[in-house]
Amino acid sequence: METSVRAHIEAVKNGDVKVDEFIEEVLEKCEKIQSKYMPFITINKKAEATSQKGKLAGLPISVKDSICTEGIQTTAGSKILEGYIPPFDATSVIQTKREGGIIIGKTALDEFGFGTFSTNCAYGTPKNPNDPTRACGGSSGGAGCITAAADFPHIAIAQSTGGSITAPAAFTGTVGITPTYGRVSRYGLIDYANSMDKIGVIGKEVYDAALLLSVISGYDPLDSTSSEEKPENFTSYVGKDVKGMKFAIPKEYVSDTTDKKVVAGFMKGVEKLRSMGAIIEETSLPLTKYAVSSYYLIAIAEASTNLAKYCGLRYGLQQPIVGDFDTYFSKVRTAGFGNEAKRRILLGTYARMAGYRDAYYLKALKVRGKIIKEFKAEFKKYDALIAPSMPILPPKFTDIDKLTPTEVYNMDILTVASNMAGIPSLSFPIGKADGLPVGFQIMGDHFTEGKLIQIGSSLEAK
Amino acid sequence: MEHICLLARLNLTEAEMDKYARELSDVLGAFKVLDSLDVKDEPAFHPIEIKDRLREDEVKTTKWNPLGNAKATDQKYFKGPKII
Repeated sequence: METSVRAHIEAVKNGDVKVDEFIEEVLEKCEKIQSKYMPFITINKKAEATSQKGKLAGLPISVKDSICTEGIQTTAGSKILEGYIPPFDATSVIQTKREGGIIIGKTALDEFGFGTFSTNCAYGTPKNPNDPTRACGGSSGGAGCITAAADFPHIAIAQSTGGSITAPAAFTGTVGITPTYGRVSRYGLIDYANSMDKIGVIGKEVYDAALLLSVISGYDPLDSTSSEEKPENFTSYVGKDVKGMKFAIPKEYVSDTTDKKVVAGFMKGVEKLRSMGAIIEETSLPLTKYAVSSYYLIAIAEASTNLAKYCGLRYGLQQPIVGDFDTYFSKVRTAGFGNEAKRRILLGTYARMAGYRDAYYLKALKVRGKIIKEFKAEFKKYDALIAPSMPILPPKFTDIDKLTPTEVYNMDILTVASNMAGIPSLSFPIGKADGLPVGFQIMGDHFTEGKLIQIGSSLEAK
Repeated sequence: MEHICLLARLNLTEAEMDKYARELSDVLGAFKVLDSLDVKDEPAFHPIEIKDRLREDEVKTTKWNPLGNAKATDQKYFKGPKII
């Protein structure tokens, strides 16, 4: 079967593909991949061709399970939402279907997005198709997994709060785009941290990711934080050269804490860009050392507030109603939330308590203001910042089990600052080390996704 | 920990409370790195400028049933536990 998205859509439009038969075959392939790597929480067995027109005509699309899909169970990877069937589609899903995309399933994630490796999953842990003893990265691990494993044309709708697109893209060897905050409507996304959540995309090639991003971008009256920035056809940036463009490597991102094999792989990409006429310098982002702490403070404060609404009454996990409100509420929440969710609720509740709010939450928001200014100053001098996507190669599950929560949080050091600042980033698979993928990260100023796609596609060119 | 659990509406065993208390203390210890940073900046509640967007206060009907996912209902109401 053809795996190229571009060729498949062309063939569908020309009437060369019988979409009903094609989808049936794709669903069979999904079942086989599921038994091997577990990328899905739900495979949409009722998937069928809607339109053979549109920018995504007849194209299989997977959707992260924190994004609502009408009539298909949506759990955000949590037992507390087990059985929840949304009566509506998220805006990004409506836009996808409108252009002929076919929703083939809902992909696995760390519960509510709380994780770096997709190992905090209530419905099974996705395994890395490059080496099934290793993690796919999180929290959009299922999206990265199915994109890497698919032997059919496909693009994934993913989501990032602190690096949840970049990490799985890097670990699975796929292309991930985390757009500017507000570029894509969040309507229908089950919140993690509202001020940082972004719906984005993962594809096998830069073109694929650019195509789906073009479809789901744009202002949405249902999301008051969505941007009025004009939507673009991002595929038009694919293939443009980078001659004369100026990039900088933040020295804090290639420090001793970044695996030497990852740095070596990243430097191959640097040389490639240089050979194509790009100018590359070193810079410094001194606030990097404050990024993980301030990110997590904002994230847990917002998450613990968002998770207060799960009380086992209106949807998801519900039990026989016994006792008063507090007793029932506490019982359902204790049964429904996993360990990491409980940890973040407790941390966030503490950080928002009277007397601590200014010291923790408000201070973190002020640091975010400083970090945004630090990035903005760099983008006056450079077209983009470039760095490794993750500080390590995809880790083994057995090694992840040995990490403390603080050590896990520190794995996000290369992604949290850009996510907190709401700037876009693209992770490109630059090559392999020890047979495992290495991600190359490109970060740009707000609303410069086109430029990132241009740079990413240059790296893709042979 | 007991007070935080009460606020968060989570029932934890003694052993779980001890475990979380140790982990929380470790994480909060790591957050102390922020103490060394002097910040006078305004807090950035959002990463980009967010405008207030107000819509007309019009009644709109939804095509879907809000009670569709609830197990305990009574006519057109959610049924819940006793509050007071």
